[in-house]
Parts: sequence; C-alpha cells; structure tokens
Amino acid sequence: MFYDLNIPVQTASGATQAAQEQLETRKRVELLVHLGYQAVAYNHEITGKLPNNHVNPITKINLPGVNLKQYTRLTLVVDDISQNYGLNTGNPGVSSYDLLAVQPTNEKLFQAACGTFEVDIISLDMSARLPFYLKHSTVGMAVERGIYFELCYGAAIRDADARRNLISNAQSLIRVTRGKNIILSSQAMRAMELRGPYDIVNFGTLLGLNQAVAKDCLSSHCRAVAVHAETRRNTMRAVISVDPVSSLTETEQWKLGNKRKKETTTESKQKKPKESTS
Amino acid sequence: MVRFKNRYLLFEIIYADTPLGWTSIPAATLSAIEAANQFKGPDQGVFGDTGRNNCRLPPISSKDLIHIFRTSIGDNFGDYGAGITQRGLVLKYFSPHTNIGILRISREEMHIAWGALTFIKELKGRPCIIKVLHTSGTIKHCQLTTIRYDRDRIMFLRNQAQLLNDSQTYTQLGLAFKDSADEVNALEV
Repeated sequence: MFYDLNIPVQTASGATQAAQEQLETRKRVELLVHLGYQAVAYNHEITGKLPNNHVNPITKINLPGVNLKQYTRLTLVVDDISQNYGLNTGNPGVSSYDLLAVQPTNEKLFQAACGTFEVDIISLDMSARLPFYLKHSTVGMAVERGIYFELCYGAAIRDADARRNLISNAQSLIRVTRGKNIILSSQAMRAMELRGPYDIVNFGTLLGLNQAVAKDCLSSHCRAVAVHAETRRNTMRAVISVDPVSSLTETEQWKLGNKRKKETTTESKQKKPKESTS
Repeated sequence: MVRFKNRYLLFEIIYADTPLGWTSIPAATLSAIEAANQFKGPDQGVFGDTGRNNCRLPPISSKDLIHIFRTSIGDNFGDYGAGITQRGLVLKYFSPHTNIGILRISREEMHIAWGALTFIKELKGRPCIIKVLHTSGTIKHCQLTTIRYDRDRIMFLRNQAQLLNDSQTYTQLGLAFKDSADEVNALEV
C-alpha cells in the first residue's frame, strides 16, 4: 500500500478560485489513484504561529467506489525560537488535523523539533541549500522518538537546480539517518508533477537508499507516521485509547461477552480499552 | 563466458489530457471513434476525449522518443551516463496508439535509464508522466504484460460499447485486440 503524504492545497479567497483549486486537487487525486497510491494527505501550510481561532480549511474529496484513505495535514513553518507555537493536542486548531508537520528554518528550531516538539513529520525545504548541517546527534533524537523526515520530489521534477539541491540534501540526510525514518512524498502543485510509486522507489535507489528501504519510504514508513499521529491525538499518554462500543463490527461483538451483548443496543458509550503502540 | 544481461522496461506515457482508467486505445478503434464523432460532434463522441486521437497533434514516433530518452539521460546523468547507456539502450516496441512501449537496457544501467524516464516532464511540448509498469529480464514477460494490459483496456471499451448498444464498435474492438496482440507477439526476442 503506497502513501503520498503531501498534496498541498491552497485556500483561495474568491468563489471561482476556490472552485478551480478544488478541480486541481481532484485531478491530482484521481491521478494518484491511477498511479496506484492508496492513501493521500492534503497539506495545509502556515508560516508562523497558528491563529487562535484557526479552523481546518481542507475538505476531503468524495470518490465513490475508490479505495483511498484520506488524511489532512498541517505544516507549520517555524522561524522564531522564542515563540511558543502551542504544538500540543490541547490546541483545537492543531488537533483538527490528522497529521502534524513542522518545517524548521534554522538550526536552533531544528534541534527543538528533533528533541521536544510533539509532531509526526519534520519537513525541510530540500529544494534549496540547507542553511545548517544535519548532525547525527540531533537527527538521532528524532529517530529515537519515532519522528520521520520528509523528502519531497515535486520541486525536483519542476526544475534542474532544485533537483541538484534535492540530491545533495537527500544524501546528507540519508547519511545521518542511515536510511531510517525517511518518507518520500510528492509536494506536487500540479498533477503532472506526480510520479508512479515504483518510479519513486527507483529514484530512492539513485539517492543511495537500499531498494527495500526505498519502498518502505513510500509504504510502511508512511503508515508508521499515520499510526504515530493516531497515538499522539487519540490516546491517553500513548498507552490507552477509548472507542465507543458502537464502533465494533458484527464479527467483533464477541469481545463484549454474552452478558453485555444485550446492553449494547441501548448503551453505546461503553468504554473499551484498546492497546496501542507508544 | 557469462551471458550479457538485459532488463526490459515496459512503460506507459500518461498525458495531462489522457482520460484516466482507460488510457490505452487500439489503432483500429480510431475509425470507429471518428465515425461516432461525426454524428455527435467532437465533444460528445461515444468515448469522450480519447486522449491520443483528439489531441490533433501528430503522434510521437519511436525515433523521437529514443532521442528524448537519450537527451534526458544526458541532462540528468551527464556525458558519463549517456556514454555507459549508449550501447544497451534500445526501444524495442512503441505504440503511439496505446502509449505504451518496451525499452531495453543493460542490467547494470537500469537505474540510470529509469531515473531519466522519471524526470521527463514533456514530450514535444505536451506535459506527460512516464510510468514504468513492469520490468523483467526477458522480453517475453513484457510482451505478456503488454497484451494483458491492452486486453484490460479494450475490455473496458467493449463494455462501454455494449452499454451504448454500438455493435459495430464492439466487433471492431474485438479485432483490434487481436491486431495489437499479434503486433506485440511479433517482437523478436
């Protein structure tokens, strides 16, 4: 199962612009399905602090008969170390998104992001020269905490300079992470900037990843990001999560035991602990 | 002496205006679609926009395509990359009607050739994506995959024709499948 965790969506002001934007997103998603992806995340990017009354502007696309998981993702471009960005699940603006990513623009914030921020993805602008060195000690902290680094190939397809920078930055990232905790995503503004999953796997091997690892960067690593986000948002100290009994399917009803079975029809808010990864 | 080993890449060209789900249309349906279009006007043909025939541009030839591939290898991998792939790179088959083709490359340089395909963003000014559908060590399996792929597409079109009660197109599509399969089978190994 292949994931593309970065489809940027812009929020347009006018009605016609919004309709056009919607159409463009639809085109990209349909092409993704055609290429063989089965999960997509719509990315909304904000520079600076999240406004207090922020609401999630992303609307998921209704595709009947298509097996496609859809996520929403917030990317916060952070540049001020003294600012408190309020990146925790208590913040309603943040928790309205499925995935949370930060894009640090200087070394201090990169350290903070790797060491303390409660996020799922650290995204760096790989299409330009990185303003700081990636150190093994800093990156190691993020790897230990299960945070993933993102490589976006969309800009590299757009122009040759970005391609050169991407390859150089990707190599340094792969060297310091030793190929662990990397995801590959598109960041495609237009449909024609997308590529097939196996084409990207091949591109990963050109960057110096092992073929199996390159495939994981599009599949199981992305799944790990989604699960990480789930544990961050919906669990109590990453140990226990609560689901209503009504969410059980017919085949899972046995979990309630014989006695409880009758009560389920009336009482739907019964608590059921569910184990989850920390 | 060890045998010289090759890889065969089966690739598909997806244009921006290609309708998704059934990009591949056999040669013989061209007339059927055109005939249908004459009755209903260009915008309401039985098959809608067919992607390749409605673009009203000359179809891309194998010669152009291999030239574009070589240029892309040169742009992305420099003179060294162009040099080491020069001998092994052969376009074995390309059908401008179905937009799929088979590229042969020596096994060691496969990643370079494939990477160059990935970074092609337009063919003769038409934005496109080149997607590799299958790789194999012998051409046989590429042929089989090509035929299977064609069949899926043609079956889709036949179903459409059946729904529209267009018996003429229906039979033509059946013949078209045989034609395209013969064409692919005729490839020398």
